[in-house]
Amino acid sequence: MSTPLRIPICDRCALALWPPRTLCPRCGGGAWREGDGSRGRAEQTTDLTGDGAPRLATVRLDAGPVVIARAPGVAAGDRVTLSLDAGALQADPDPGSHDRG
Amino acid sequence: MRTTAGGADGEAVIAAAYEARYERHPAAGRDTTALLAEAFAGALEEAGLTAADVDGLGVASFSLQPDHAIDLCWRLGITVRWLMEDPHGGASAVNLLQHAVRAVEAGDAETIVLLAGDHLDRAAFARLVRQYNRATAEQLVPLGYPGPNALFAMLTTRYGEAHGLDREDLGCVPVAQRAWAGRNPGAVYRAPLSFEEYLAAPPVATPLTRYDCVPVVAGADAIVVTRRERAAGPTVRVRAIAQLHNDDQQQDDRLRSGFATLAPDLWRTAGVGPEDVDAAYVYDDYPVMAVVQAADLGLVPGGDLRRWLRRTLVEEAWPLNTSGGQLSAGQAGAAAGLHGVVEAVQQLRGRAGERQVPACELAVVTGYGMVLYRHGACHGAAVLERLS
Ligand SMILES: [Zn+2]
Repeated sequence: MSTPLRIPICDRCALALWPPRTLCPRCGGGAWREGDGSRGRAEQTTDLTGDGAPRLATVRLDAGPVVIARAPGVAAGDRVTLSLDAGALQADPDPGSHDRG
Repeated sequence: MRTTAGGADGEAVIAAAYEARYERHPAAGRDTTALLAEAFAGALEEAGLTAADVDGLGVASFSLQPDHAIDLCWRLGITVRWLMEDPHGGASAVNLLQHAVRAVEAGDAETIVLLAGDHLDRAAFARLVRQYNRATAEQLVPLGYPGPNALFAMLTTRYGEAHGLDREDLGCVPVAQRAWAGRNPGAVYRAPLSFEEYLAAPPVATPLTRYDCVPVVAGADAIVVTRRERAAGPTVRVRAIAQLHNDDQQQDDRLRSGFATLAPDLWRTAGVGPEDVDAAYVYDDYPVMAVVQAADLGLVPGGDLRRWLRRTLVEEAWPLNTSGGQLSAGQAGAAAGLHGVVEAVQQLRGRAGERQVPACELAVVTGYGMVLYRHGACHGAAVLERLS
């Protein structure tokens, strides 16, 4: 069951983070609300070798954080949608994004 | 044995270094403790000291568990008044060295042996990779992540695109280091590596191939830090040490690393510049990291990376990672950080055999690592000087 990525946002200074942490690196706050982390752009990808080995991508979220995600069918430069699937962050290309390269 | 601080204002030196032979497939019995013991004895013999002279021990090892530094003291039969253990892998050696030098200067200890080593079999290595830290276990392992190759593959792409470096440019690091390894009987890979061979190697994590990834070996390294008057023969002084950890919260693109931030302080404290060093030992877990560190420390004249890689490293064989580095000599787990220090000390003491750099008087050595989520979080560097 995959759900759109929600990310912690510092209650005090509004810094968005992924992965979640204990204290805010900008203001030291420790209270968080949730925000949308489901949109972003793939910056680099890598193909691991071996049977069923995944393609991974570095993705810059529109909300700010830079994350690592499983990225089947994603090319560098693609706009992507991020979801959490059994604890694994997945990036899927937005329709129409891929052919732009 | 005196157990309180005394004899302060001593001058601390590195008296000797030793590497317990790196091996891809060690014989039974050559386990982590045996390797550390071999390095311990070897370094003391080089220093002209004995185990009875040792009153401080620092160790870094991923596979010592469930033992710790104190258990190692017991197994080595030594009584100490300064004791440290550092879990920070490739960054542990520079960190331990910083503490050891201060301890000897302050009189908290007189003779400290710093040890690092590992024998990780296939299962232990896989476990270490998967449970490296919580960020790895919780965020990366669920992706089907088999280790840091994927992260450094993407950093390699990013850095290459930003600086206009192609695969052959970055391949200059493993090719040049393999030429040095040919003159190091302790390196596990010594046969010359051609660019053709490098470029034809099958990918591991695109664009990285086998030659961009370190061979895992069993082995151990040691240095002896003591008061200058206790040391015999040429010794090595630490002119400066600078460290910087978690400087970017894992969010930066790392086109400039923490080394760029610490470099001005490092060189100012050392009273010399990058143009003065006769050899450099940068943490080469991947070729791109060797380039990032060299550039950030100011070792690349004018920042012309292509020229430095192709002409300075390959054609002129400038002394970078003269053991062959981890890429050719091997990565013995947590010894990876101390490996460069040991080679620097051997060069500065004139003990580097066929690969001796003539008139090697000043060297810089780095520690790097502890991949947290996207890249290494720890940076350390030391400027070392030969004393005659
Ligand atoms: Zn905050």
